[in-house]
Amino acid sequence: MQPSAPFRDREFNGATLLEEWAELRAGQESPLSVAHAALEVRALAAAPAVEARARLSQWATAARQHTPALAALMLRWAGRLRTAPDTALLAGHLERLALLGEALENGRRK
Amino acid sequence: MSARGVTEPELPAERLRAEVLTRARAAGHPPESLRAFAEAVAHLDEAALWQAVTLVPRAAAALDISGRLAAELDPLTAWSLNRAHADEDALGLPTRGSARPRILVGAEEDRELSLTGAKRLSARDLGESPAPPSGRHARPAQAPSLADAPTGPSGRFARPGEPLAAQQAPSSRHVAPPAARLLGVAHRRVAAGPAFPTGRMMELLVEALLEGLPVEAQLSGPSATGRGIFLQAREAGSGHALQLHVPATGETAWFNAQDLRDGAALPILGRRVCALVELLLPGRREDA
Repeated sequence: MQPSAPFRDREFNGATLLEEWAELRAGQESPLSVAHAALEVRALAAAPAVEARARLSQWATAARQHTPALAALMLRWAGRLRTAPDTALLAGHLERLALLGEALENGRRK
Repeated sequence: MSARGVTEPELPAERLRAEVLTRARAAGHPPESLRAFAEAVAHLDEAALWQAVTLVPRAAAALDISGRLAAELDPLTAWSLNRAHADEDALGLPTRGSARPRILVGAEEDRELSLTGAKRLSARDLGESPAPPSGRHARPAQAPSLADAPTGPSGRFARPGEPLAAQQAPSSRHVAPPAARLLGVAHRRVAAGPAFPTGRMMELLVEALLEGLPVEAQLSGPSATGRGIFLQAREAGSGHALQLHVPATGETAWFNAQDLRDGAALPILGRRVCALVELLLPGRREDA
């Protein structure tokens, strides 16, 4: 089964990633929070897309108070989950986002 | 001997001290850190002062590329790192680059957190045991990870029991940041050289990118050097296209991997970048 369109975009793990990190940084999120979210999504990779979407939305709603920027991002992506491979691709995307955020922050700090 | 001759021996130390303090101030350290630093170096002669603010190889090995550059530019940071290593030597502690906390002076600990915008993390968040109450140089207890393991010239992590050739390979360990650690990713520094020719560096780079791991790199050209983050690789024709982001300029560009292998100018940093100098290579930990 093919991933749905947003997950096939050439900039899904490129420019989109940079824009998302800028949003999260503005929202005071840490790479570690993103890494935790990536693990949450990874745990749902085997679930059907409908279930993954529902559970991610639930997770994001619960996380809204503590990590609003990350919760907003997660809600956005949860709404785009359509096919089986999407969830695993989203988990990989969030892992990259956490690692990129860490690399960018480490560079800024020095 | 002239009056000039009498005062001359003191002048170089004074000049060096003034230069060192100017650089530390320019690096943005708070007044209390600068004061403590000034007091600590006040009685050092020129040679001792030079030595104190020049990063020792052992301290340099525990830093990534940009960390090393920063420590070389900022004498206070170099002094802190050297001092931490000297403390460890005195205590007979083994070298464990990946477990070393960043050395911060006084109020810088708070400044660091506010600058990054990161939330304060507990030792549990970091996957570490709480640090003993002996102060900021305390080392968190941590199980050995691949970030601690020496690597061989083959470019992959050495397995237990495997002969180590780390002394021959210009690669070294790196402090594992918390998110990477949580995701089971370890980093090692791989420098271009006889053990890692450009072709091999490119293979490692593409391998990591295809695995979904962004790679930090130091790039250079005839007249420019820059830190870049390779974001992704895609198959393109018989080779790969790579996407590179340069945080300092905000540039992001795609280019053919073959161009980087051949040392061609890249469409980034004013087309002056053309060679890989060093990679901070991520890899999945086998124990993750």
